[in-house]
Amino acid sequence: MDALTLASTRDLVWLSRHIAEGMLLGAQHSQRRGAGLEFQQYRSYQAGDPIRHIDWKLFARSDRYFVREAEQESQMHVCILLDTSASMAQPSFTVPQLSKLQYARCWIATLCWLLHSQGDRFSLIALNDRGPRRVPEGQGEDHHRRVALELARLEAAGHWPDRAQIAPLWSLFEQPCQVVLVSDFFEGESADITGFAARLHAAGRPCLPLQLLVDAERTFPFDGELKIHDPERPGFTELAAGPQRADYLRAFAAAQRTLASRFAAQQSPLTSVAVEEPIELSLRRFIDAHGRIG
Amino acid sequence: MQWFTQLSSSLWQSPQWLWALAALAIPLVIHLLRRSNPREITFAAVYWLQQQPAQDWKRVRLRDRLLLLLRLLLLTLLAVMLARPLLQQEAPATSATLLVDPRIEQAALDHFLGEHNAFTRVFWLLSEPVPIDTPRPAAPDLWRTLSALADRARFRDADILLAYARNPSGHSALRVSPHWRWHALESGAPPPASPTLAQLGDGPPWLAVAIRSLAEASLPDIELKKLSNANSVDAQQLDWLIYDTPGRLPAALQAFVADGGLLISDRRVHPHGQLPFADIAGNEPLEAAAIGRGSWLRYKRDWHSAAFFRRADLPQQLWQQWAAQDWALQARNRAEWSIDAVPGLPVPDSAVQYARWFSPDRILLWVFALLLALERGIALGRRAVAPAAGEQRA
Repeated sequence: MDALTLASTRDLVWLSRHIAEGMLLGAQHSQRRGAGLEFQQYRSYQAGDPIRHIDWKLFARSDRYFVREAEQESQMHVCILLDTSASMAQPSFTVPQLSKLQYARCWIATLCWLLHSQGDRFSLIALNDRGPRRVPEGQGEDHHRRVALELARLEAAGHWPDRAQIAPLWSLFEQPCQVVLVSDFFEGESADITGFAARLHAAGRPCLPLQLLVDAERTFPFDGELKIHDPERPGFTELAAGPQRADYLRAFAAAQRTLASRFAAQQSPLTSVAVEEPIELSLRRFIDAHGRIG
Repeated sequence: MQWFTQLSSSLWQSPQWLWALAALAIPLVIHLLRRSNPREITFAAVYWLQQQPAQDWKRVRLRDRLLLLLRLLLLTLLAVMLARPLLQQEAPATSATLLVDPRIEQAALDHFLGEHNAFTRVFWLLSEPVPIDTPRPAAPDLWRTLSALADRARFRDADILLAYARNPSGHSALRVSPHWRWHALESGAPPPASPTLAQLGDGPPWLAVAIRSLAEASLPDIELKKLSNANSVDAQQLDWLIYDTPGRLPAALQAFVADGGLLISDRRVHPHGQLPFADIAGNEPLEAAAIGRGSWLRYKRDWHSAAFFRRADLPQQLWQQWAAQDWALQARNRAEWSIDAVPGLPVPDSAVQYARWFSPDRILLWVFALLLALERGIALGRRAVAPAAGEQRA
């Protein structure tokens, strides 16, 4: 799956399933097909539910769409936290159509499908200072579809939320869960994001970090005069690229080392991924770094 | 580069076009206006870049200096071409040039060049020297040729190889270059030229004896030819003609004299019509008349008389009288000068035209075309490069 396909595909469901099935080829399927046949409840239809799950008899009776929901057992709940601050809109410099956010969408959808195929539950929280968007925990194909739909709606804007905005979210982590934190971890002096991860760790909710970068952030391949727009700040920075390159590379590498050591101290190694990298590889790397998820 | 120094000392045929140089401001202004257009990118990792205070002098930096330079050059060239300059071209270096006297034999020349092999350019010594590989020209009048070459910048510093160290001088003043280096193959003077003699019909009986006596005494290559037909007389091959047939002078002989020959007779020969005979001073009664380029020398006595020829010094007397009347011979045997003491007036360097004017139009046009192609190549090449990814054009 090359970067351009990733950038231009709108159908996250298909894409993630395609990638995940590719990764699962030859793997033991632990999924119980037909699991949850045991009827649990009716639920009113929501956008994203497959039409074939609508109970047409009930529709005929009540003139409203209802969906049958089945009970499904799972040991594991994975909560995926996605940073949607403006810096996540950073496009790749080699494939301009592909942004960090788009890569994160595909990556998360694929991860969710893998989780689904294991029968695990997963939820999504997208965080920026415009207010969190979340899909509550659930499981199954429909839930995956719902997550994919929510992912597709996300936009990168604003900053990482401050403490007051995050406070109401802590209740979501009261149940045991595994947290996957997807961000670029560009947090400056404030260290908001790592601080948040550290608090999660302290609360006994291990936080698995995935850092999304674009290749240019690692190599700084620019020349000449630059007028740089910081997506999270107004205004422009003007500078000459050439003389700055060595200093930038040094400072960036140091920051990366600090970040990696901070997460290593929490027994959750940082996986740093450039968006130009195929999702299969980065996902495989992420999974290998943390053993099996769940 | 040499041109640009020369441009200052050059002439302009249309200097009003130099005002077009004011157009140089156009590309300067364009490039200055385009300066504040750096590449715009969105870069979230800007936090790790050094925040430098904006420096105003950096903002007036010129962009695309190479293109600007090319465009300025193009405009300058255009203005210069329109103003039509005349440049002074310096004469090429003149050392290692050898001018060769055409009288020198090929073998002697080869020998000389074998000993002196520093000469890169060898010319025949003429008023307009030609390379040595052109056919050998006739020997020129050295005096005049050297005078003509004295102020030629190309040959100011030449080596001059003469056949003889001593050569006949001329009438006007000899002009020489003080830088000439002289060489001669023979230290002496060329052998004196002997006139060719002939007698038409039967000459006076003492003639053959007198000529033989002259040949034995001092002129070994003098010889008396005998002609029978007046029409076979030709001034090109014959210098002196002795004519001893009484009566009127044949028209063919008069034509011979007019062509430059010297006719010698006694008083028994008469001209057609009147000729302005003039007496020649001396102990022998003698008169001469100029006809065309030659002259007729006539003895007033009968030269068959014993009083005329019974003299011991007859051959010397005859030679003196005849040679004095042959002006061409006089010219050839005039006073000599030697390369060891060149009598000429040195032409000072200040009097030498070391440069000549030429118009560099064609060269300028070529340079202009080349620069234009280069400028277009660079400008279009830059445009073809697509804006890099993530770049935002304001």
